[in-house]
Amino acid sequence: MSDVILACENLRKRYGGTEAVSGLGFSIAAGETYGLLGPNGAGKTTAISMIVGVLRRDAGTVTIDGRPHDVDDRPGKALIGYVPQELGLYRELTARENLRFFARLHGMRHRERERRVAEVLEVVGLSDRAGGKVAEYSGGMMRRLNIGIGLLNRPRLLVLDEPTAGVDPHSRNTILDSVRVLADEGVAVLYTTHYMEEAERLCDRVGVIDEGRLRAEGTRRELVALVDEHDRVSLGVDGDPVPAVRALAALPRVRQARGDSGRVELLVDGAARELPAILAAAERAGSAVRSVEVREPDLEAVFLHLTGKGLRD
Amino acid sequence: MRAFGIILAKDLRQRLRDGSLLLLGIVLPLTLAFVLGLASGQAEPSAFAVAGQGPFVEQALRPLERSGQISLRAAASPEEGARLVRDGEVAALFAVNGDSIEVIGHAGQPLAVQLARGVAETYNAQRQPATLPVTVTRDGTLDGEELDPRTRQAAGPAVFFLFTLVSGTAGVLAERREGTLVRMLAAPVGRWSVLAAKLGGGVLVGLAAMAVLVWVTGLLFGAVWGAPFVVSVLVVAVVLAASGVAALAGSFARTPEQAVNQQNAVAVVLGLAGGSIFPVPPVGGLDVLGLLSPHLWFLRGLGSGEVAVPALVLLGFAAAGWGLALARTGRTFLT
Repeated sequence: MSDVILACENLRKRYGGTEAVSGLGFSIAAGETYGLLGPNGAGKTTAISMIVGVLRRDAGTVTIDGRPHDVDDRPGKALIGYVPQELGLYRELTARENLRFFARLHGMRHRERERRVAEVLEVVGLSDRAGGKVAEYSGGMMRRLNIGIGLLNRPRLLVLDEPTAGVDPHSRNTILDSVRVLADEGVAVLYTTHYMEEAERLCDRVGVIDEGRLRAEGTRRELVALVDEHDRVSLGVDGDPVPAVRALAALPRVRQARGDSGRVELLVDGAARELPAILAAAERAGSAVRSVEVREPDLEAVFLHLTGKGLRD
Repeated sequence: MRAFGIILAKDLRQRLRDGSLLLLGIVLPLTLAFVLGLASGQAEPSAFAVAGQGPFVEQALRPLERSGQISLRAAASPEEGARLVRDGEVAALFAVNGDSIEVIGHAGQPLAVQLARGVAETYNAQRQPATLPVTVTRDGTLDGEELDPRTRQAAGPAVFFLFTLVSGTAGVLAERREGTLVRMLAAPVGRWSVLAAKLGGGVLVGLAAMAVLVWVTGLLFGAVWGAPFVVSVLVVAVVLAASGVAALAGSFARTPEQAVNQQNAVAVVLGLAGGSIFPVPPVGGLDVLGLLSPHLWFLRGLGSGEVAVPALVLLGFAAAGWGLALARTGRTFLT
């Protein structure tokens, strides 16, 4: 048995004239959490849909635990737990009924099913509300149940597509902690997000995806090394930021500059030394600086460096 | 097959819980049948012409006239009576001679014509022996169909609402929107079994609803649907036809709401064209349009007791509807 649970190579999917996923490839080992980090529309969900066997790919290969996997590979699907971005729940049914239904689809017989449903309810903290209609749940509870369904079959590969979208900070922390525990238990985790903080906190390795292509991958340290010692400097300015962006881009230590609605974002070699020159250049360009924020390199800076745009663009 | 049953059971639970199954499958058809029966029983007294004399006139028509249930107008001859019918001054003419009763009805007043026929046939049935020939002519609404009013008032609404009940297209679209469809497709089950359960579940629901309605309307309204074999074949055929037509209508939708609206629109148009609420008069080509409605073929099959042609036509609707719907939805949902 291979230590690599998921391996995909050269995945491609085209919708009409647009190539949503273009030559994507990466692998995930048992116990590893791999983050696919990219903005909305980067191709994350399309990639995941091909990996879990929901969407037929145009080209490329996917192997699950060493066996070729596609949309008709039922044994392979039995190894995957899938948590879709939309809340894949029946709102007029109870949490227990939702879990029972998907457990049946995974072929669990009565006794095993009831035991596993109870375990999952405990894991996601919904045992007390298991008999309540999902429609009456809070958003955070629905998200937890959404994840719980993905855990029913004790997956070897857990695929979570933006599982914290729209949840409160407390539920987000609970979800991230649960995923970490599963990875520690040996589950391979594929986690897509456009939240840089989640990827940094949770993932052993991160793949940076944009416009359907994997721009880079590695550990946080490896990725940050790509931007050398570049710091991120964020200036709040009054008025049109374009003149300031032009002026700042001309400074020798500024590697990248962009601006939008009252903000100028810079990648700078040694921001502490360069800051006086930056402020002076902005002032000469006619932009009054209201605020300054300096951050050490992070995945957001990596994304900016690789793609020239922000994760939330 | 396992997934088919699991998904079907879940769908039934959802539909029973939200009440739509009972409402569309049982309550509304029974209510409409009741209302139609009430309406036909409480209508203004219908005007009829009578040409000729005899025991039928004295023993059957005069008592009804005296009780205010009908009004009678004497015609000097059958020709004059027919003119009154043509001009719309009366709903039907009783042309009576010693050997027979001929009912000549106005095509635009099907309920009154059915009443006239009922009066004549009831009178004949009460004679010992019942030998007086009763013929009904110039009544396009009864062309090829001999359904009695009670059964028509039960079968029409049943098949009318059947078309709103049987399609699973809206369900597929709702599952896709809610994210549960991808979850099912990601489970270790056959992809086609998911689609089959969603689209084919409506067939079982339709069969169950029709079976209940046949039984209940017999008990409550005295509807006589016909020989069990004929009824069974026609019910299966019309349920398949309804599901195919509804699936095709829904396959053009992008949202569950669109699917429901399109299916209901098709159900109403076909239902009215096929005479499932009121018989369609043979004017303006409406009777020809009705041939495009599964409702008409179902009611015609029930009325005539001739099962082969109506059943084949209904199965043709089913094959065409399902074929086109699966070609569209299969490509959309399973790729």
